Amino acid sequence: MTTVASIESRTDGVEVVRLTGEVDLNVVPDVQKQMSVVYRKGPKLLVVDLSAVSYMDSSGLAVLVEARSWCVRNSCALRLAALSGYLLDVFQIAHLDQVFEIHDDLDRALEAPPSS
Amino acid sequence: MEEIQFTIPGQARYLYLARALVELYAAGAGFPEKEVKRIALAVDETCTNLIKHCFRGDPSRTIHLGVVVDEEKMSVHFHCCDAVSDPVHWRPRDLDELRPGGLGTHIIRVVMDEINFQPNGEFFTLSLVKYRRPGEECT
Repeated sequence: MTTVASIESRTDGVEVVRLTGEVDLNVVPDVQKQMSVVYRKGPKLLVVDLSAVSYMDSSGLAVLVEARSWCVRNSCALRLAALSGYLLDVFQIAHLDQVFEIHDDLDRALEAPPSS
Repeated sequence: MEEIQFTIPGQARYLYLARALVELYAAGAGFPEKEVKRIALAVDETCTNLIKHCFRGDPSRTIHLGVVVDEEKMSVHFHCCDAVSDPVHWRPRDLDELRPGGLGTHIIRVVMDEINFQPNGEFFTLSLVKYRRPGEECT
């Protein structure tokens, strides 16, 4: 149940955050610290890879909503990648599936053209 | 059926235990996998509410859960305080207003069929109820 938020810097201005495990109230403070590190880098594209997330509650969703707000304020594109069927159900329950730009996998999230 | 009761420390690091126990019980009672995960999510959100709004960071507090299943439904009971039993806490929020707060209670209201409060001494008993759909197994 250990969750790790790892950061990978790609080309200039592109940051990938990979979340792992169960993202709940217990681990969200650690995830928020990692997100703060990413924000300080001033990315123009932030991709959150959710392929290894087995569980997420509203505490985890709140981190992503905060990330979206940061990106809107700082002209950064935010993309989510590789949600499992379970995770997509959680997003749908919270009505967030239409709010975020969601891609099937990390490669597509990185390669997608800028949305208008 | 008998009510299964368990107590966990009111700390975020034990949330996974509440989820796991309720998930096992719901699966064993024949609820479909998708509903099992949704019920566990609602239980997690309720525990999170208790930790944040009732216990206010006091790690010595405990979460008391009671789970009971019968032919028509699964019920999960919690002891809670007036901060969580207050209807204002459960007021629907405008999801078009994108902000982090209030998602937990929204999720609970969507996932569960009933949310009930009963005064219980100095506490309230919060009950989450999920009804079986036609054709679901009953074990």
